[in-house]
Amino acid sequence: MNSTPDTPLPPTPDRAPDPAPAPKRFERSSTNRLIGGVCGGLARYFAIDLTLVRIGMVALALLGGTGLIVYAAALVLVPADGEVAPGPTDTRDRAIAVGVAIALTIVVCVFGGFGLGAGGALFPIAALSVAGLAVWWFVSGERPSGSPRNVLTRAMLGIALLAGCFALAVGSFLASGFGGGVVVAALVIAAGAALVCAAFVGRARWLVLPALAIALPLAFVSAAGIDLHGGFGAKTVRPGTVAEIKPSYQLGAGELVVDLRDVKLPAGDRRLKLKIGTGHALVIVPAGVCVASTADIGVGGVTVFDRDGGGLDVSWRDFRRAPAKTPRLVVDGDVGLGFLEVRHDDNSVHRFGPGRFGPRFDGERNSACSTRTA
Amino acid sequence: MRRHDSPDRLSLTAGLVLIVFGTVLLLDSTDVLHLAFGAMAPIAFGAVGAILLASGLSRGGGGGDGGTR
Repeated sequence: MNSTPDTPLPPTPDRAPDPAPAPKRFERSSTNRLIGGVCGGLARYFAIDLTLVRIGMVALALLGGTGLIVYAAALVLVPADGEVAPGPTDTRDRAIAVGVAIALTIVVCVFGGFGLGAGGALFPIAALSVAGLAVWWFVSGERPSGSPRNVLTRAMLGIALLAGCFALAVGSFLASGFGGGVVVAALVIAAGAALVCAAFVGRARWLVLPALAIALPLAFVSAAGIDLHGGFGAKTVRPGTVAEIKPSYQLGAGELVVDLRDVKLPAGDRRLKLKIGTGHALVIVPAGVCVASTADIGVGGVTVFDRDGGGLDVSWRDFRRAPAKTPRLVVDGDVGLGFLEVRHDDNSVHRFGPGRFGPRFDGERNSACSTRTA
Repeated sequence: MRRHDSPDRLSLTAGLVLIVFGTVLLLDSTDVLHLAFGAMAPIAFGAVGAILLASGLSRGGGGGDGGTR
């Protein structure tokens, strides 16, 4: 029933006036959250699309790590919606967290340089903290919420777990590279069996990350064909005569240089096999020697004078024919992770140092060969 | 003490994935298989992806104990 203008509304003396709207408060969202609900809280506070906020945060994260720092700070300082007002302990924790953050910023800015700005210097710290939180969340199922002290504790535990997994990964890499792949694979299977059993009688989610930490390096080593036998470090071989040239050289990790400039190679073929687990192999040949080359490289590249190639699963074939009475060196490379290079001088394009950023080929040619064959 | 009405989905999935992945690695290490990056990378990423998927589903309250939130 509609009331007419002539009919006054009854007085409502008991009705209190509407209270003033509560001031908007920036809180992390507990409903729209992927990690800590910071983007969801920002989107709600400014009444804008959540996706746009997330895109902006990712863009900031890629621009020197600013987004990660902002996110980590909001995670620690901004309460989640529905959280009680901070008590004295929370206030003290937040004050400590702010103090630590400011001190850390000053230290990094003063001693870390400004190459990429403070964000660039802080990026590893922020990324590590966020990674620690994510790891702990994955392992324990506990979202990064609660008091700043709890968040920091979880971040530290996550970082500790990451460090342990890193050590396991390095150990797995070395063991696999030295031929212990069967043992490592057996450990992965055992960890999987333990997880299956634990799924029924308890829970051992923490075992997932260590198992992956040993499985993935083994997969990498197996796929790349990395063999770490043969020693580590820099190794230079400079034979003076043809008789001193060995048919093959091997290095586990590092740089192997075979310098043949002092050798006068006779006409005909001379085979040279190089096997590198991970690193750089450089063959320096005198002018007037034709070089044919083949190489199998897991991850890396090949540079033979003015020709090069690279990527994953590289199968390099460069067959050359030498004119009569011209020596031909047949290089056969087997590199797991790294580079194979053949040049007339030691101005390597893959070695770190002055030559690294110099002209790419600077006139290098395989000019002693007559024809290139399929 | 937690009740075990149903198995923990993440642990079960991750365990099965690791057993299969480990078996592939074992065959590769014993030269029964020869997997280059072109084959190994999809297997490795698939294994990690399956574990992450199981983790996400178990956190969504779909099965198992759903985490410890």
